[in-house]
Amino acid sequence: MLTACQARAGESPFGWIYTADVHPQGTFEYEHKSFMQSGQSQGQYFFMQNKEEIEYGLTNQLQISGYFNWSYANAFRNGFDGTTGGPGVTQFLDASFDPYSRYEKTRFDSVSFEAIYQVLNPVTDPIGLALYIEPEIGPREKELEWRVILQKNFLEDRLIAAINIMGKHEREVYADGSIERASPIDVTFGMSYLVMPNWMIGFETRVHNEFTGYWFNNPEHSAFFAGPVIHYAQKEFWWTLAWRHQLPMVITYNEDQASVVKHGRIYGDEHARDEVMFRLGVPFAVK
Amino acid sequence: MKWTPLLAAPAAIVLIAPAGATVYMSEQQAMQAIFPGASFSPGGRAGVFRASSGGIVVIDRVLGKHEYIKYAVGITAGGTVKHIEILEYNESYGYEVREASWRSQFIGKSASSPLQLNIDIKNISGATLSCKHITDGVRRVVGQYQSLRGQ
Repeated sequence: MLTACQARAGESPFGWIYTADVHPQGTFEYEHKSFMQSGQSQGQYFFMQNKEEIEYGLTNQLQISGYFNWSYANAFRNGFDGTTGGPGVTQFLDASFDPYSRYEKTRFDSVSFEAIYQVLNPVTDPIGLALYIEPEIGPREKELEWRVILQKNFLEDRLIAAINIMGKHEREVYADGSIERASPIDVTFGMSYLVMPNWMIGFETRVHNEFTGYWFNNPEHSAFFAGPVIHYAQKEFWWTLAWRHQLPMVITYNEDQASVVKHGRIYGDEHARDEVMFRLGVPFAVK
Repeated sequence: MKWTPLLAAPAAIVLIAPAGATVYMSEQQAMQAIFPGASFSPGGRAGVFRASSGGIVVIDRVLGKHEYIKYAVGITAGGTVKHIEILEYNESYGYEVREASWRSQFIGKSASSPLQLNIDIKNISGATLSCKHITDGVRRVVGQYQSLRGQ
């Protein structure tokens, strides 16, 4: 009589995809996220964005969270022209930096707030639906992220399918004073199956579309990612490890974007070849 | 950058994971709680016990959020639920299913009852998953009563 396993918005069987469940009212959870990007067209490149988060169930339908965001970057001559740069690096390089030297730095990025409202419960309604919003502010960046989260459970809840439609409105100040305004929109899809108590295994995909301007003004590129995910959970803690590989099928919409494509993959200041997400959650309501 | 230490972290966490189920009562205690004063004999199938006063107790488990919930269903000779008890529960949230007020909803239910969450069994907000799966489990047990009793 085996039945289900379920994930909340905080705890997800996916690395990047949110599910439509939220924490019960009055319960807390600490979560650490490490989003790692590795490998560009040449040289050495590693970038790790970390989030330290406290989540709280304000009601049984509304979950709020606060984040502290920090990152570590290590790059060396990874650009197409042999200079050092890439996501998390280029925007921090000022005129005093030797472009052919190594960049390595750990830094504070921003703080952010998150709210998730569950419209439909994935356990009791035919489909789960949640709405998400996250404003983020830091010394160099301001960002507003939103998501529409859909979830459908199958096989007595042992199989979870989820789709996120995510948009961002970003403003980033570069070290040289220039300002970049962007508005990516991503569609992510994943499925995860309960293979035995505590363990889920699945996959997730990402279709990423980058635009300049705050309101999806001009298309830049579309990039595609896919990879596996494994999730372990018990009452004291849970963790999720996911890997996404950039598929060699990028679509670019201008010459600048095409100039940072190699073997069908786009790099530049946006992407790397591989992405890894590690999440660790510790609920505080364990009795 | 070598990925090995990063990828090894989850394995290390699992290795140091604290173990131990939260056991609230034994099978014998559950049977006595459901049919006080009765004696019990094996019912011919694993997890099924006959009560001397008539009726049976079925020890069953359903998977909650992460791990199994072990529970007992007592069914009278007439095929209606006498009571249910939660023996083991190992989830972060949802312990409210142990509350007598929630469990008492099952009393008197039979194979002809819907036994569905939000229809004839009220949900507990924040414990939806456990409520649903225990309800589903009880429905299956009650539905099998005739065959279980006939062993």
